[in-house]
Amino acid sequence: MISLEKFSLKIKDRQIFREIDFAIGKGEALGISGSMGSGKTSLLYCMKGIIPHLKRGKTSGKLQINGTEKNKLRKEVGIVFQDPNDQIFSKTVYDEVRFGLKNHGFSGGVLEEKVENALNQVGLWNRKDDDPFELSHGQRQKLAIASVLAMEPEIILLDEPTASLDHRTTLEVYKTLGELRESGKTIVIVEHDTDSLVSFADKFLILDHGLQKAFGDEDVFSLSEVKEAGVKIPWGLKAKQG
Amino acid sequence: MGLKGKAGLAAAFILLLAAILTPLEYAPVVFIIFLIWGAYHRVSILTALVATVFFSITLGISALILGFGIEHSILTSLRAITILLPVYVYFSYSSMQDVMETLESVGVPKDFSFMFSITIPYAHVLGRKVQFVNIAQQCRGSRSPWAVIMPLLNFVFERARMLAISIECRGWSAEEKS
Repeated sequence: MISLEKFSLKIKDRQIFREIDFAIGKGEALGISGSMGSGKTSLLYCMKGIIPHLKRGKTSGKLQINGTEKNKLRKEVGIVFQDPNDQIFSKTVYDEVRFGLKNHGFSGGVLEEKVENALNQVGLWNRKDDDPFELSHGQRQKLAIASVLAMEPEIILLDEPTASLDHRTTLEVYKTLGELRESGKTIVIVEHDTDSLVSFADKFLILDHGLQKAFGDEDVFSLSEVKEAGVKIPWGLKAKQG
Repeated sequence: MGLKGKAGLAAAFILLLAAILTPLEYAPVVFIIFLIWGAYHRVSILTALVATVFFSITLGISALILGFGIEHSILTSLRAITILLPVYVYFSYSSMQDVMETLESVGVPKDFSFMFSITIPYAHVLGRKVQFVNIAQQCRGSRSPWAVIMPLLNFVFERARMLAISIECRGWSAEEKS
């Protein structure tokens, strides 16, 4: 479903990442981890089409989603940004989720049903009339997820969705993502918390200073290149390795 | 709560005109009437005043600097608040969708009506950010206004940029016609 071949990105003569190569199928979950500034967020932006459509950047190589290369924003891909405050602007929780659906042409009973389903999935239906800025950070993150879920994208990209969340809310977010994966959605998640990531994702991509250090299943965490990239070895795997 | 749609917009516009055209010496009377009107619509008066006080104090100080006297400057500040209050109250009891649809129905282009509908409610977000930045800078021993203004400008531009990207990612297009 998502396939990259020697995919590189340059912004203003600065190489952000170089020759990224991987492929994942429908319904799989990819976890991306790596050092700070290694191009993880930029990679998500390229998958959505934000780069080069909304932000400047020169790409080379191939990036195919559903077998097609498109140089515009992809409607079948939804993205949840790192800071939920960057995407919330409506007066109520309900309006925030409704916004994307209205832009996609939904209205009436169908729209209301989709909003209700999305808010119920993240447990915010009882807060639908509240001001989003009165929600806690974790609840705002859930609202940001709901506003993307409502549009029912095939692929969901998440940029550090559990940063600054407590353990319980992190588990709730991953529970929601697990249900989405079971329903057939493809999920790509950038995450530093490898403990949570390893129990959720099927494949892992490790980046360091713009270079791909490893791609594969959880065995990648035992590679020396991954350790040198500064990626935390998940506790469960550490115990196995002895 | 409040008049919706075109009636609400018309009411806010009439009150705005009344605030502008009322002689300056009657500004305190108009101010009290508007406070009562805002309270009737259950709009938080304190929030409304915080949202309008920066602009009104700036106008008042400007009048003082220009030599208009203290009484005139205070009345100018009060008038500024009465001008801003109808706008604030209207946006407070109308949802973003109502505001957009009303503005579009009276001929305002889609881009402008959308811009208004999201900018006005953001005033209280900005107010909170000013508080946080001020506290953070004072913790570092700084009382300079530039120590607050520069991070605030950075915040405003960065937030605007990311919000624009997020809005476009959710299907908004300036080219589409409703």
